[in-house]
Amino acid sequence: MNHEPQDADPVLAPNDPIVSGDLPQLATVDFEPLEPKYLQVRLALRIVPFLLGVAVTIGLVVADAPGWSIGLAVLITILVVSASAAAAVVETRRMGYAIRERDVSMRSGVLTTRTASIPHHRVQNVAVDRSAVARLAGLASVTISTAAGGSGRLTIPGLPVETAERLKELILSRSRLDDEE
Amino acid sequence: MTPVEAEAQLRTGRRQSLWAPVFFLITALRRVGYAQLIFLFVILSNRGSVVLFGIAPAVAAIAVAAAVLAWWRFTFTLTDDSLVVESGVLNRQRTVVPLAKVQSVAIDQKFLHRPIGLVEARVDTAGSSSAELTIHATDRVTAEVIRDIASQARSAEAIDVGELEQDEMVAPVAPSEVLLERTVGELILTALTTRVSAGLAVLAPVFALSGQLEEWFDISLPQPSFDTGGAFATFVVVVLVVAALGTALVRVLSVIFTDFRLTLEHDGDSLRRSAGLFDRRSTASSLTRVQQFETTTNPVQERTGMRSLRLPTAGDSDEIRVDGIRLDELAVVRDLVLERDVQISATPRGIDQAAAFAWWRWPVLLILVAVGVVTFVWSPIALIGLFGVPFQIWAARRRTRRWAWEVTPVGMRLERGLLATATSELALRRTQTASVSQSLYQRRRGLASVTVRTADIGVTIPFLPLATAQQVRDLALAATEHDRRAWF
Repeated sequence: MNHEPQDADPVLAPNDPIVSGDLPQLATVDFEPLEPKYLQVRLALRIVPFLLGVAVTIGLVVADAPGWSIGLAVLITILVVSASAAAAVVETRRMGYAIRERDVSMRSGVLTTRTASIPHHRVQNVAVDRSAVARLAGLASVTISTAAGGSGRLTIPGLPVETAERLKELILSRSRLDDEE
Repeated sequence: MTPVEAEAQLRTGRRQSLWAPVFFLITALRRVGYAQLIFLFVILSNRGSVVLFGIAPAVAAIAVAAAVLAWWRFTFTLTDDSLVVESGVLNRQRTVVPLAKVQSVAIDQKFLHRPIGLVEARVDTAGSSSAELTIHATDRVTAEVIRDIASQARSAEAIDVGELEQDEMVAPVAPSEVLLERTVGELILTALTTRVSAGLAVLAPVFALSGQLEEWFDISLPQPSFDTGGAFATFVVVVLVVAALGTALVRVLSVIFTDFRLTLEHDGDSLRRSAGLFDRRSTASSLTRVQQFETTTNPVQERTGMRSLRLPTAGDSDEIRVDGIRLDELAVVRDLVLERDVQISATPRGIDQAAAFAWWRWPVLLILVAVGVVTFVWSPIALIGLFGVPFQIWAARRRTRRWAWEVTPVGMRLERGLLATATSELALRRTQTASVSQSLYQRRRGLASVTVRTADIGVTIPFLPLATAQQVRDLALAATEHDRRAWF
């Protein structure tokens, strides 16, 4: 087995050190915000815990439950719905995506914030999804998958359908372009 | 048979060995389940001799005939660029496996293969989660010819698309280099220094059944009782000694069964691990598919100069794992897996000490609440749980202090652990995704965690200054651009 270092070939041995001062910095890039309608969709979805709370409260009233338990049910419903609505507002404002020449990044999170990046030439699959509620609002989401499996996936929600399709085409073409290089 | 003859036969089409029907039958029986078969036989035998001597032999005869037919209809042919398999008794099936896509060919010699000198060959491609094709019984030369031809086809394609350098091309039949071979003595040492408690899983039910044992063997074990303090103490000591010895024995036996004559070989572009007393199992992976280099060592291993090695690979095939590997052997494997360019020479850096507080506050709070509740509802004896608090604080501080990481433009290395030490190393060019995250606690202190994921596995460094975490992320992203060799 040949363990000797091989002759440096500019094409085949691309291992020159990268000078960290020259690195393109993601932190200086402006992230694109999501469509404002996406916040409305998320807030509209809060109807589910609200209806659940209302159903439980009605059930308690019908079952002639003690007054304090009905009060508690109302309080819990208000707390859960308002907390999740507040979280939706905070997260949607923070969410954003950035597409650079070589990678795509997404910022998300409520308490824990996360910025994940995928180099274009690691993209395995790009999918455009439209849930029933998103369809009503004319929105779609783009999911980009890599070989890293579930946790290596990145979803950009709240995009107008045309933008989502354009993004998909752009990312796919960039990943192909990178493969050919 | 020589490799040349074997290849000539493969080109014209081959069948498996005449013994293959036996292995088909065994596979079919396994699928039905031995326990179910015995149960069925017992039920049927109660129904009278007609069933026992009429139907059962008829079913057996049909099964044998089907197995022989299946053998007859299963042919495999080597073409210029693929392996074509035709099979199926009633429904004909034709599978074409492109040789360049073959990720590994595992050659196993199971217990029943030994006396007849045959092997099982499993051909695995990247596109499927299980083996694409299994040849249940064939001669070793044929299996090795398939493996070598697939390996050459893959290297040739890699050169075509510029993923490999010419120097890395595999010789037509690459001689394999044995990187390590374990003797029984070394296996015993490994068993006694790694995962010793694994044997407890086997022994625990035995202890649980101690009451039954008294009945069966007509003995009387001392009963635990607070009245006879002396007898109880002796009982506890005896149980502990027997448990320790029994656990160690179970562990030694299991390691000898699974890892007997453990060998790690390197040929051309792949690593192969083979081991086993009765069923000799062989796992192979191409070097490009290995995503990380992970070692662990506990304080006992530290003294014996041994380490445990794990090489996670992309895709669904088995990772390569060696529980007892010496430092010199480890260095050779590391050079092969990480390439020589990922020599990390930077001084290790630690993580922010704020991590210690973040790590002990919640467990300590939990202990305090649990102790409070149990004391209130049961007995003040629960206050003993308060001893957990200083331990938790000590453990969190020690863990924080022991985190050490290094990142260079080409590689990343991370070391952590409380008593045992785990080390992960990876080439940054294998990055699939890179992310920076901040919890609320981290955000208030300007800290962040950075995660670099390769295919199937990732490494996270927590509690770094935000700017440093971002710099590590940018380095990982730049490395994937800078070095375009294959990552799988």
